[in-house]
Amino acid sequence: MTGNRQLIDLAELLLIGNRHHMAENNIELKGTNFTLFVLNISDGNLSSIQHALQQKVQQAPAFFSGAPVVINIEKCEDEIDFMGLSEVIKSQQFVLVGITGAQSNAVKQAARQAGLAVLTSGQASQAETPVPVVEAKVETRIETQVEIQHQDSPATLFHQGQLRSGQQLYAKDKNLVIIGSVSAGAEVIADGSIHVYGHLRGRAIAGAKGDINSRIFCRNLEAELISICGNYKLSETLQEECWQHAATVSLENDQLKISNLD
Amino acid sequence: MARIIVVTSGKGGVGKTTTSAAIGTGLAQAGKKTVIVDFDIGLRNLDLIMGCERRVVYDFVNVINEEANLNQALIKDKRIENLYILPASQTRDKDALTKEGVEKVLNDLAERFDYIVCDSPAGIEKGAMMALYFADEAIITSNPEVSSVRDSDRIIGMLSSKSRRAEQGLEPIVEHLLITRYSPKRVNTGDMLSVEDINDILAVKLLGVIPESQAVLKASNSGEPVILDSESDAGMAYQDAVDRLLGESREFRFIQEEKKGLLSRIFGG
Repeated sequence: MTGNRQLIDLAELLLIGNRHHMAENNIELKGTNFTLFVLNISDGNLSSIQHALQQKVQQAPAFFSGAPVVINIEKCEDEIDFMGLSEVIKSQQFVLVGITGAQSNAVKQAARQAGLAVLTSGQASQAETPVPVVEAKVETRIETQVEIQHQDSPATLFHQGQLRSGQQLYAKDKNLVIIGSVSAGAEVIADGSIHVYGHLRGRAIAGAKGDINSRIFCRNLEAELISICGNYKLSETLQEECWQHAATVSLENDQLKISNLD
Repeated sequence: MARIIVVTSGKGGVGKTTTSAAIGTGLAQAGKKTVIVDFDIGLRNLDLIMGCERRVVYDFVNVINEEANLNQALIKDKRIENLYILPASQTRDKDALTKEGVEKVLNDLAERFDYIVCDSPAGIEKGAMMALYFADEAIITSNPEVSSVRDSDRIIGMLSSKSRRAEQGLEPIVEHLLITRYSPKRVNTGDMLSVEDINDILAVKLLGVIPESQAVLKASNSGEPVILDSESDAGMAYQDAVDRLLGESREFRFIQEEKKGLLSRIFGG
């Protein structure tokens, strides 16, 4: 199973905190990652910031409402009124977490006094372009925690030719590739994904040991049964979904999702 | 070197014995020394279809058990030169067939014949496995109907995994598909699987398509292999299949619905 996977749709991702775990008796303090907006400002003019921000929010009010935000003051030469800035941000329904990109200790001190956290971005903004008053989203960084599986043998089992009724093929700890069709009454099972370069008329069971990322692919879907991690569909319910078409089957939120490949 | 051809299907009643009799007779007519062996121990039918039931003294099981020799058990066909029948036992069951016994009989036959046609029993149990185990070629007989096609698919899987050739890693068995009881009219009305449908599922080279025909029942009851009824559509279709088996090229007939002429339409011919 993979760990904590974050999906990023929009905006910028900032990583906060390191990964240290500390277990106490009744509390647990540990570092983790969150997705935050970063607001780049180029001057300390509060009214122009408010105006620009308002325009931004109007584009997608629901999306931005209550969103945590960090202000990047790296490009800002002016002295900033952090209390005033805080009010401006709050007025647009953002939650101001802190600032980043502070150059001098005096500025950091001022920010702390205004009740803001001073953050150090792992990756400083590299935008060279003349910065408009307000600019959102610059870069994207994704961190995925994956447990690497060590495998001693090649991870794919190939089968050349048709798999006939009554025949069964199990790819233990492997993906399974069938170069041919799987007849009605035949069964293909894999701990990984299953690829059928032909008609899939029999049963296909992927992720037999619970790998939720396993998938089923086929050139022509006419299966008796498809299953990933024990979530299955029978041909009866498959009739409306890509029946007799090239298709891929995946698992999304414990539901089998069937997509057309044509 | 004799070629061993098994006529098999998985499902019963699709025309294995009719096919064995017709193909065996056709091969003999083409000048090949041919023997048809009935593997359906306990349900002896081939002798009836071949019209030699009154001449059965010893059978296949007697030969395996060395109670009789091959010369005593083989029945020579009265119509066709070069054609012999080795009948099954009606009083025994399939357990009488042992791999060693069958192998010995087939080896003896191979010395005297060009073609050994094995008429398999239905099912996927011992009798059917014995019939296909030593085969060089297989004629998979299937009706244009889903359960028959699926059973054929099962048998094809066994040909490629349970046969001697598969076990010893030799050249695989040559597979031929023979579709029997085909009715183009019913295919057109959607009641029956088409040749294309069956081929799409089984993906085996087509040897022949035998039309649904009154001639087959008539031939069975009179003990004449239907291929000898050379005027009948089924007889002609079997002749085409034999020719293809011998490497000739033949157009497929009887797979399109016949257009009725004006007169037959008026008079309901």
